[in-house]
Amino acid sequence: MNGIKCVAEYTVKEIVNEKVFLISTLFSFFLIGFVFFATKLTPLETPRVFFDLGRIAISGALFFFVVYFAPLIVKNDHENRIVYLFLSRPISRWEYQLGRILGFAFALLIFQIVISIAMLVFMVVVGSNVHIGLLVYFGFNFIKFLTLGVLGLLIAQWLGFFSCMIIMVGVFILGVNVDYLYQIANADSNASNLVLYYLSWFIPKFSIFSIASFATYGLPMPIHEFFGRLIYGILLFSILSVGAVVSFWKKVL
Amino acid sequence: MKNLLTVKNLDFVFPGGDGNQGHHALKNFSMELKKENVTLLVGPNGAGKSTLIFLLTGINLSHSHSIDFDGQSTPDKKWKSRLGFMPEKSSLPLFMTPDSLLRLLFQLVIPAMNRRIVSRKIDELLSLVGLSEVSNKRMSGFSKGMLQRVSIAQMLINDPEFIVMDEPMSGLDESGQQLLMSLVKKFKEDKKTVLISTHKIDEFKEYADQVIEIKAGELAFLGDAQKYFFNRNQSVSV
Repeated sequence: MNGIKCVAEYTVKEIVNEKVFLISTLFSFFLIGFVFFATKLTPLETPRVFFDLGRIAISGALFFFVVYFAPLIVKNDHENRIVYLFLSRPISRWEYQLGRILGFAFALLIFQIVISIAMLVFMVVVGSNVHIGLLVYFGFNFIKFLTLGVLGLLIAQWLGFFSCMIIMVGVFILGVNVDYLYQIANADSNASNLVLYYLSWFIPKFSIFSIASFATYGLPMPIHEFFGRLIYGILLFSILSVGAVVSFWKKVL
Repeated sequence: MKNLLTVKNLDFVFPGGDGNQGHHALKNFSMELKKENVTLLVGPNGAGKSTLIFLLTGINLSHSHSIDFDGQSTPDKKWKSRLGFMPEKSSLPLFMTPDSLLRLLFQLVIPAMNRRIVSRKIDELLSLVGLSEVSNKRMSGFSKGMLQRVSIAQMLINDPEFIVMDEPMSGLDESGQQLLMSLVKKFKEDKKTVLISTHKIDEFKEYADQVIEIKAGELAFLGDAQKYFFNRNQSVSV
């Protein structure tokens, strides 16, 4: 456990000390601030427009974070040989990789909390209804991007920095689109749509975490919806994490 | 004298490269590393020296159980806690300070150590390598020689019994080289087992007990250092 903690702590420091971390945090503040002023210009209901645009800004920032930092820390392991410093110490390979995943998750959580607080402050200013549903929304958003990040940590071990980024972007777009197709297929059960239905299960369904409607209007979320999505998220994250650990364990450095 | 490490018929292949068969870095390689000896690992670039070092330090794993790590078949935590490793090229996180890096490594290697003792040990190590004045400066501004000194300090945090250095002279200035030589001398006096991979074999001639020479992944020489240097001088004079 001590080894995992040390590597996780190191990973958080590594990410937080990157200039890109500071720039992306400032840029997300700028985006949220921009959305705040843009909302003032619309004749529509201000709190709702702010929330809709604000959550897009937050998702954009989180998406950039995972697509950049997941391949980066694997690149640092191999190109800057940081991995040698740790693996010649009393630590197993699985502990090292698990520490990397947990450190990445913690850094993402810090980032999410910082920008979510900024958004909540603006929501209070525009008079939005700040309710517990928002916490659920931010939580699911975190799981969604963490899952994508762990996928990045897995594939970056075998591909270069940019190839990994491109694949992560592709998987995200494909995942969201296939999920929409799945929803259409689910509504209409003819044979061709059944193919789509089964196909959709092979692609991570990121939009299953989208609970914007519940969060926006503060609607009560059915308990089966909440736990269904939570279990799906944790399961997907766990499978990808095990994949990343096993893949690293087998890798020749 | 007992062996610390015994390698028998070790084959190691890097996947990819050379078509689908991969790159055969070590071929049927056997060697013994005697305890309390200073051993030089020599050979041309690409001969397999670093591959061997990565296997002996547990960075890479050989699943063929061809290596005996002082009675164990795998380089487990107990083995690694006796090891000090200085890699060839700097593998240091440049955003950190030498102090924060050593603190992190102390926490990893000796978690139960009292904070005050850790601070004192860090001061001693940084003073030993001549970096006390820059202990709280980020390593991103350090020269190659200064980074090598940090690398020496991190190698010594657990007072290792077995010390592995991969091209330790690389990037060191005159005073750094003198520091390294004095350390090797001290390791020898303290009866530590030392393995040094180097191209500058004459620099370590005075302290070497044993030489292992690798050529194209195969053992070319294993034996007494004096014999190796004698043979080399003979072949040069011929």
